[in-house]
Amino acid sequence: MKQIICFKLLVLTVFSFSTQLRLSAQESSTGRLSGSFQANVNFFQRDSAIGAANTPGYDRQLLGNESWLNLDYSNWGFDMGLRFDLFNNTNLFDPLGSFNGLGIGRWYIRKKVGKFQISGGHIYDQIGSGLIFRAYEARPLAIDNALYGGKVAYQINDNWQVKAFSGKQRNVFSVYNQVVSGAAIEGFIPGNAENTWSLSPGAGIVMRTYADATMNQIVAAIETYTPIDSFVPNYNTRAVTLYNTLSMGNFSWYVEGAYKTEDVFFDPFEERNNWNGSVTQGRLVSRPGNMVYTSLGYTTGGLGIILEGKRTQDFIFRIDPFVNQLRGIVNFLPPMSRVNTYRLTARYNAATQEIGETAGQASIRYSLNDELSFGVDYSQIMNLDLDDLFYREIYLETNWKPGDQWNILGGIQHQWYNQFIYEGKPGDLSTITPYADIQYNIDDTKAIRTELSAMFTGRVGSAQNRDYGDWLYGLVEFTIAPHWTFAVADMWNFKPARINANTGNKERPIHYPRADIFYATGPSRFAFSYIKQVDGIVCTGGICRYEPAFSGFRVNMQTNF
Amino acid sequence: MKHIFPIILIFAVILNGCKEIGPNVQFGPPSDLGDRVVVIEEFTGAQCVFCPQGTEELENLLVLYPDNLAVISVHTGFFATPIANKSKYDFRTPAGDALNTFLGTPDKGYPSSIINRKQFPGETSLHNVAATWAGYLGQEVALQPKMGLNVIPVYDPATRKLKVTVSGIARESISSPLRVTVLLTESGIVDYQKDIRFGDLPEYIHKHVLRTILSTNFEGDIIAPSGVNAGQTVNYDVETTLPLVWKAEKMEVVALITNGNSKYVYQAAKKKIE
Repeated sequence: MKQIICFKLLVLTVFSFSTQLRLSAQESSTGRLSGSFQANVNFFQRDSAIGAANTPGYDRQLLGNESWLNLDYSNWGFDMGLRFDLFNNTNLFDPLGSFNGLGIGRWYIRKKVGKFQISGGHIYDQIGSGLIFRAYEARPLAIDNALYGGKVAYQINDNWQVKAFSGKQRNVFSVYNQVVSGAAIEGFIPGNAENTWSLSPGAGIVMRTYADATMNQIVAAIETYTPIDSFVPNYNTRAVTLYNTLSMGNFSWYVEGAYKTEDVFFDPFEERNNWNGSVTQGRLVSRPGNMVYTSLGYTTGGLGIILEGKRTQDFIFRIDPFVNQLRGIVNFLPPMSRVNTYRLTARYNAATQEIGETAGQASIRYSLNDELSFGVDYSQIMNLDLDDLFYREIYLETNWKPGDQWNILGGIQHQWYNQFIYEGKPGDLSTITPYADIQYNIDDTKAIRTELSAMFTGRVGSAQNRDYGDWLYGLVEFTIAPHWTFAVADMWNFKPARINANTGNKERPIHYPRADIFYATGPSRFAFSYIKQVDGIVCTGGICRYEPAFSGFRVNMQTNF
Repeated sequence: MKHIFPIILIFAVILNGCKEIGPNVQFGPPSDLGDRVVVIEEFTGAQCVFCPQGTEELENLLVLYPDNLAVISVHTGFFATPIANKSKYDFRTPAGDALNTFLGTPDKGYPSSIINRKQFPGETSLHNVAATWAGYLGQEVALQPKMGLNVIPVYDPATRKLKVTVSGIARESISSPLRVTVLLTESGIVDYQKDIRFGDLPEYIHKHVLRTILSTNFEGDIIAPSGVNAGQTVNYDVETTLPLVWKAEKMEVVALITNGNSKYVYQAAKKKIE
């Protein structure tokens, strides 16, 4: 009850504040107030048959919600904003748990003074592609690692700018103890008078300093180790990066190399010699890290090619060594697998391995004419010694547009997926997934789309894991522009391979139906969904986490103003 | 371009910096330990593939702090569901589920431990991941206990009746209400356990399994509603009859004196039943 009153008071405060701002804006005629609102509500319906049970949401809370109200205001040369966050019995932070909290999740103020730009508050920013520093928000995964501090940027000339920042990383409604400081310079070098080539180089450095409390905790942990595993940790870790984009004709080549000085992190695979004589796995270590990432793009006519490569070694960069999962991440390591969108092709994802991986990816797109195009993707991720395959994906796609009414897309995907590395389940899994996406535009406002796919597991080479077994998926979506979309879908585990945890018998075929109604009006969008969803790894922008099964209703609202 | 070289120079200086003076690390097993007894409540389950590694960590800590650490393994939640057609026992208990509600569901995955029911700075809940246990335990062990605490179990094998007497004395004045909680654990239970490294282990030995809480209330019974003055004693008795399936010779009684408001454990005591 107190929370509801508190929320109402805060909403009143925010709206009275916004009213004042509008009045001010009207008075000055230069102010601009904008904002956005997003709310998600989950109604949990226990279904132990699919594993949607034994969490606070299913057992007793029955309802969880989260919402964000964001306000931005610009006037008098200032940009400022705040965001109110509300979490009530939400499983967003830990899908198996529950979290409650509300308050100001973000505020910032920014001002340009001559060639300087000064920012304070919660800052989102990154250096290069984010290998050594990225402060960003990914709501579906509950990531919000804004830097709570200050930033100064200086425009040296038209082509070069330098920035420096310092602060502490956001930890829900508080901050972590550690101070993170950094600086970067970025520029643009036009190559020649004909502009046939150019360079966009940059360099950056980040330093993270352990607070005394964190260091005391690290030392206390190390002091329980046997001498052979012990070490003296550093307070400071620095990470540097150099990057450049070379643009030449139809080519674009990005390369970035990063190095991190000795850093304390938890290595789950490192042997630990215990005082009772046993040897177990997992302990704190102190090692330097390095990483190289490159991307080469070529486009001409109907042909587009992208080649990417990445090598990562001990590049865990966390705010402190005791945070886990997706918490306290200072940097961002780009994924090296295709970002899939169809339900079955996106079922298995290869999350970046911070301790070590070697990865490569190629993507080729070719348009024969306006009606017909083809695509091929290939990804391969291995360990550092190149003798253990973590992930492989081959993805073929054909898109045929015979006229204005039809759009027919189809293809096949093959994955080799090391379940131990990505999910902690022993063995390798293979999939073969043909898919089709067919859209028919009935008239200018109505369209019907269907998505069909099938997944066959454990049929390639030694990757005999079948996980849940074989799947069929079908979706029909009917759109009445500009407001309504109706969708029904079913993901059918028609040939199960699992043992039911409750009965001990082989799982019977299970349907995972879903129905959605979407309504859009102006900048607002509402969704009402009934969902039964199988558990799995869910990724957003290459960052992944395990999501348990879901059963229930979900209501979503988003609006901008 | 004239600005580039000074900036690169600044970067180089920052990178090299000054040599820091590292922390003082004491290598070797801890010494000069007092009589502080810390309780670790481990949230675990037969289906939790990473939990055996957590148990190994606790066993390692028990070697280092044999007299200063009491471990309680609470089987509760999603991962504590017995393995179908394999598990002989269901280790879940009303007491464990009540602790899950009272202390909070693990918010950082399993295994998770609560150390002295304290929320450490920077943590979002009472729960802590395995990598932090040793450090937090070290911090808590180093503190002088505000209470002296003794637990005496008297067990009659013939009737299987168990009487537990808890006596404490305040070494400092405490203004908060005090609660006492008495818990029973059992070790040496052989049953299936999932393990990320080895798959399903049929002969896994489960230790410190929470069997029940003897106190009337799961959060502990009030023994000093307005706190205690230095030198003041508190006493508490409780009786029960052990079910036949519990092996008394492998059981341990753990007593906690806690802050009735914050849940913090001022002192713990443990004793084998037989």
